[in-house]
Amino acid sequence: MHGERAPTTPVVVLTSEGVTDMADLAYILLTVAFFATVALVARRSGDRDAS
Amino acid sequence: MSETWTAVGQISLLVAALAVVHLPLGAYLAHVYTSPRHLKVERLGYRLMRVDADAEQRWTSYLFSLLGFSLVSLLALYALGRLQEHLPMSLGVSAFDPAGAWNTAVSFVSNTNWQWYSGEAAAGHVYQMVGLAVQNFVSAAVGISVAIALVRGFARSGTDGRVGNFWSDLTRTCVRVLLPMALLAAIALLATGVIQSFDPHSTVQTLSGGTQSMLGGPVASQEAIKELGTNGGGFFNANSAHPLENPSPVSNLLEIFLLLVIPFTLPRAFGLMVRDTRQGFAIVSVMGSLFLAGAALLTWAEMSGPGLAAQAAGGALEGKELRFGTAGSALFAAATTGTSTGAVNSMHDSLTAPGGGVAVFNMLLGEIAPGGVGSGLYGMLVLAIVAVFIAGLMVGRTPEYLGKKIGRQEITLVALYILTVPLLVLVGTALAISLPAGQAGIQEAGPHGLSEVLYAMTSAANNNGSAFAGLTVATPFYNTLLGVLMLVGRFVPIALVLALAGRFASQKTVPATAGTLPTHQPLFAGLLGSVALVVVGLTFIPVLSLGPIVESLS
Repeated sequence: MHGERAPTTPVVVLTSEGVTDMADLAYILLTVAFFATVALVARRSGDRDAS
Repeated sequence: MSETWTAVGQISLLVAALAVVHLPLGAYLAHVYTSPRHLKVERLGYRLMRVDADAEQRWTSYLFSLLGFSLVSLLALYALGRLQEHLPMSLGVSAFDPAGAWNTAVSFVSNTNWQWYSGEAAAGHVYQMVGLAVQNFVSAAVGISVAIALVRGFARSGTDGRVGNFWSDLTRTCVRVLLPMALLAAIALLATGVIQSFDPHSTVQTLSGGTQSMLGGPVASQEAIKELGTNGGGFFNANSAHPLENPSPVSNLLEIFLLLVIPFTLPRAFGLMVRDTRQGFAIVSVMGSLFLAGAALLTWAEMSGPGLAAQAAGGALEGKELRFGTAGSALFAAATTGTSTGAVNSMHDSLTAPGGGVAVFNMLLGEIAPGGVGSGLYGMLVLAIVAVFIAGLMVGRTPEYLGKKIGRQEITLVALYILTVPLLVLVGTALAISLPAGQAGIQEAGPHGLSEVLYAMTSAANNNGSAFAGLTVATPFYNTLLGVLMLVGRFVPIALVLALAGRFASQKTVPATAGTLPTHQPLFAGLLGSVALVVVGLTFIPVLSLGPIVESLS
């Protein structure tokens, strides 16, 4: 429309499906982060044992 | 027959049956984990997984294999839960929400089998069989594998931390131990009246003339591994209180036997593998004494239940199935909380206050009496190291256990192991009773409400899975909190135990001298039992005082 400026900030509409997708991602990331942390700490400890 | 004699008879039969299988099954288990030969079907499995089952792994590689396997299992089970409405034979159920699917995935991969949902209403046949029942086998096999790795740590000398091969241990446990035993157990359960079918919902007429919708399903096969693997997740929401899952006193006693048989037999395999069967006998005697003490206390508490109604009925019958009676319910409750099973044949929220206190205490012991499959043995061996360390300090000698010196790094690992679960239980309880989302799920005020929360946190962190009930846990808050407790409570202790196994396997075995503390005699067994009670007592008496103890006194 004449004289109306396009919005400069994108508008994000979070639907209930979007929230579910975010929750899926959060639980998967939490799981991977936990296992990775245990493995990293064990690896450092194992390296100390070996040296 | 009076209820007292029923209780004595059941416990005597159980002890006799466990004693009969202890030696042969223990010898078989030791053979499984020391035999150099692979079966054809096992070789096929290794080829499919593309692993070298003959390669000896250092403890770190063993742990990485275990973590990788568990991570893939967890993500696969999560996906099945989120997509279960699209699976065949889903019976029209909906997909789990993200928090619920994650909680269930963590629960079954960690051998906890905590169930926030009603099995017959929320889980389809394929999800139960391909997802949950498979995890019943492999999560139990993971626990046994870790225990065997620790035993190898004691049995080996100067191996650069090599504790076996995870893939070989996992496969052998499934193929040679759990599958054949579960097959025999399923047949025995079928003979006692447990159902096995793929029937959908059917309508039956009740004795009172009404109608009821009943679900059929592969119950006997799932029930067998549910008990044998100390898993506990029931096909039906009522678990082993359901008449199609546990129809009679005979099936009840059989189920109790199944959930105790492997944990009570592994110490024999341990004794054989370290070439000193007396050591295994010392461990099993402590496990047995603690279990019998717990079972006796719980039975006494339920049979002398407070109040006129309980006394008139001859026991506290609220929440119990009359076909099992007080004795059959109390023995099941003691067995399921003494192991990491979590199956129930009565409502634990209706246990008397001291009875419920015993059930919580059994779990707080770290489930070492006799504990879960594998986790019971490695939990008890960790406590044996503490006992040796304390005895060494008392007499001014370098502590040794089975020829392995307990130094600063070993005792640091042990201390971390012992602190992990209490930290999870107490912090989890504090969060649940202080945050609004946690308070929203608590239905009872006062000490009983605290007992309900404490029970749930204890059950999750110790990977038990039984529920006290009375707490609304089907919320994102509780599903996430309990999931975190189950995950950390399973895999952090496993990492510490494998680190300990690696350190012991690296050490040269020191020959026993006149100054070595004998660890196979009654004196040491008494010390070990006392250490278990004191460690738990010092850690949890304050919170137990505010919950079950004050409730018992009021």
